[in-house]
This record gives sequence, C-alpha cells and structure tokens, in this order.
Amino acid sequence: MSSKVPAGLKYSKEHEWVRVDGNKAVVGITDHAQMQLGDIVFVDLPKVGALVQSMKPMGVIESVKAASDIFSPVSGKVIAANGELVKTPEIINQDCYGKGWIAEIELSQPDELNALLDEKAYAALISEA
Amino acid sequence: MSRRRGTEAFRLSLQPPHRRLISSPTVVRNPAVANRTALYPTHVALGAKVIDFGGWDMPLEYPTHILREHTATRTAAGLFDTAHMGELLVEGPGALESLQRLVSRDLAGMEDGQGRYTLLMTERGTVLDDLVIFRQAENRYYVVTNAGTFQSDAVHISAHLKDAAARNLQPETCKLDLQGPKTFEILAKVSSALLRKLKRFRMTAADVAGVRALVSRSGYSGEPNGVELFFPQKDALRVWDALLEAGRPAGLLPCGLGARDTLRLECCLPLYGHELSTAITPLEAGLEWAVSLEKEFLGVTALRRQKQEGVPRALAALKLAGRQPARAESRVYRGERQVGVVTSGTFGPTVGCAIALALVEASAAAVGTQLQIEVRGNRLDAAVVERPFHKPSKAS
Repeated sequence: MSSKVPAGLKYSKEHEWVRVDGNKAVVGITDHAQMQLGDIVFVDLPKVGALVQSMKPMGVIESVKAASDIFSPVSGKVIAANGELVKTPEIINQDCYGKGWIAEIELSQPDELNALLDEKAYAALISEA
Repeated sequence: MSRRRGTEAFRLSLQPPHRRLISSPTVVRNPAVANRTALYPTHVALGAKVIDFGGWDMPLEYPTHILREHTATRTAAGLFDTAHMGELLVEGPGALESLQRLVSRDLAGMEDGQGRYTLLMTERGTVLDDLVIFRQAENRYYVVTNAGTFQSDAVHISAHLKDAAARNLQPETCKLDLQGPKTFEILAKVSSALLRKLKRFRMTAADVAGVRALVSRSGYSGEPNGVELFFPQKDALRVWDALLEAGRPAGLLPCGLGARDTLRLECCLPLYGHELSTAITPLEAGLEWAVSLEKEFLGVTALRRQKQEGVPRALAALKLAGRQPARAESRVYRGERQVGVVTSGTFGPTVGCAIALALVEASAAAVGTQLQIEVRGNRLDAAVVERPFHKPSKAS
C-alpha cells in the first residue's frame, strides 16, 4: 500500500508531520501511521499551555486494538489542540493532514526543525519498513 | 509513535514492551519456526496486517480495518481463518469415560453430531483451556481447542486416556468461520445441504463448494447465525474463494482477529489467557453453566468447596462513560481501594462506547456498582452492567 507524503511538510522518524508557519507549527500523524494504527477511537490530546519536548510523548492515540504514544516532533508550548478529535477521532483516518491535525505548538527551539525529514527522506524511510 | 506497554489486545501474542508499532508492519520471523495456516499467502496478498497469536502468524485486520469488519459480521457476514485452532479425535471404548474425567461439563447424553462447550480442568479447579467437544459416534469425539494451548492440551488429554487414543487432526484440517445474519443465505449458494435447519452446537457433514466438510453451527462472534467449517487443508483456498465470491453481493468481508476480539467481547465470550487461565476458576469467570458439579472430574473437589464458600472474585462487565478503552491489566478501583483488574477491554463498535471485562472482588461485581478504572494515571468511571453488552437479534 502506498501512503500519502505531501510536499512542504517536515516529518519525524516517529511518523508525525509538522507544518511550519513562522514561529508556530501545526503537527499531526502521517498517513502511513494512521493506516498502520487502523480505526482510531480515542485521542488523549495535549493540554493548551502545556510545554512539550521534541521526541517526548505529548499525547496518546488509541485504535480499536492498541494505544500508542504521540511524540512531539518539536519543543515548545501548545497553543491549540484539535477539539474535534474528542467526539470524532476517526477524522484522523479520513484526513490526517487536514481536519485531523492534533496540536499547534509555539516553537521554543526552531533549530530542531533542521533535524526533521523532508518528504523524500520520509518516503524513503517508510518504504524500507 | 510507539506501542505502549501492556496494551496489546491479545496477551498470548504479547510483544516485547516498547516495540515500535509503525516501523515493522509485518512480523518478520524465521518461517521455519512460525506456524502459518494454508491461507497465509492469501491474507498477505489481501494486504492484511499480520500479528503473532498463540505462535501463529495471523491476520489482525485487512485494509478494511476492524470497525468495518466488525460491522459486516453484525449486519451481513464475516469470514474468519481459524485454522490455527486445534482438532483432536478421541476414539475408543474408553473415550467418553476418559473425557468425562478431564472436563467440567457432563458430556453424557449427547446425540451423534451434538456438541458442548466445556472446560479442560486442572486439579486446583482452574482452567487449562476452553473446548467444544462433539460426539461423532458412540466411541468417537471431536475436540476443538485454542491455538496456543493445543500442544499442551494434546499431551494432557493423551496422558489421561484409558481404552482410547487421541489423533491429531490439526495438520490436515482447515477451519473457517462464517458468522453473521447472512450466513445461511451465503452457504445456500455453495451447498445444496439444508444447513439453515442445523441447530446450535450441532455438527453435520455436507458438501461446501464441492468439498466434503464438517459444518457446525457455532462460533465466536455471539451471532446466532454462524458456522464453523472443518475440511481438508488442501481445499483451503477453494472454499475460501467460493465463500467470498458467494458472499460479496450480501456484504461479506474477510475479517481478522481484531474483529473476532471485539465481536466476542461485546457478547462477553471468554478468551483463554484473559478471562480463563490456570489462575481463574470457571465459577469466578461466570461459567457455572459449563460446570457439572455433580459429576466427578479433575478439579471438582476444589470447585465444590468454592461453590460452598462463595467465590472471592467474579467477572464483571464494565461499561465506561466514554470512548477511551481500558485495556487488559488496568487496575479497577472502588473509591480509593483496588478491587480488581481488567481482563479484556476495547471500544465496542456496536455498543458505541468503551467496554471491559474485569475480575473483581465478588462484592464489587453486582450490576449497578460504580467503579473506576485507572488508565495512564487517570480514573475513568465505569458501571457494572448486565452481561452481555450486546445481544444479537435471534436466529432466523
């Protein structure tokens, strides 16, 4: 199965995507991740105002079969979380790069973005699996 | 992202903690040691996610995913590869007597073709496995076991046989389960036998897709309409393909172990290793109906004593307030005190909320009791409800 890896986003090796806008970034999980997880039934969202650290868990996502940590791909302060996911977590399965975004983070260490993958490197990573 | 510790849906297949969920979508193991059913290549070709279950590489879900597979089984039909399960033929003049000493439920009085759900017992009154045993003839019994327990069951049963012998039929047998309201409509397209007339827990021989099969009206979805098919392994693909083609217009989907688990859990059917084990008695697991206390069998003394003294723990069906699942091994509290532990938990697709079975102190198991389940440091409200969570509409 081929999964979508849109251009213009940054990706983590833990299968999160990052859309950077100035000193802020919107994050979510990738198409590859949602396909592997299967039907998502619950998301434990990070709290607005919480400080998150790059490559540390910021939330949990539950599919029918298992729970998985969502790692924050960047460090900073959570300034928004996608409340739609509380009642309709399945929108991550339907539109993981759009309506299924998870959180918006104000970046405290923008340099970290350089360590993330571009779409080509991420596509290569998931094709190896 | 990575798989969290202790959240695996199937304890028999527990992976090392913190195994990366995403980076290894299929289990890579030495095929010389991995057990695979005849249909394994078919599952892979269909895009199934494969997991280890009881030592077998089995489909967890197809690209349709668990929710659609679950709903297909409740509203139309689902087809499950269950060839990982074990079959033993126990034959000889001492077959009935020997089995009677090993299992909890009285097997006497069955007609040919009749089957009973029963438990293979330890001397302590706990459970080695749950079985379905069919009488095929006066001195011939067909024993169906779980996958991960098959080898040890076979050794245990064989060691206790007197004037009877056990034959391992598993290597030559394929088993498929067809479950759901459209089961008999689909079977009618591939078999001229009047299978709709078959009663619950009865087995008959019939041609299915041109293959001689044993057909039993039973299953593990809770659906009243459902069959388990046993036939030669060499015909696996032929029967699988014929059923899928015959069922496609009716909405039949191939289903993996994920849907099998949510279907059985909504109907409160126990899973060995979770609700049943060598540390749990059938009385605690709410299976007194499968125990004949007046019969002599291994473990009966312990069970009679427990019946007299009362069970210390009981299995409770817990409905959670929200959608967040509480998985196996989550702690159950009543107020500040821990009163038990979750044995199985998931999101119930038909029920529409999170559901769990938990082994709790008997005093906390009464319907209506308000409990809390700890999930990642938070206490989630849960109420003890009547079993089962979901009651499928009656057989047609």
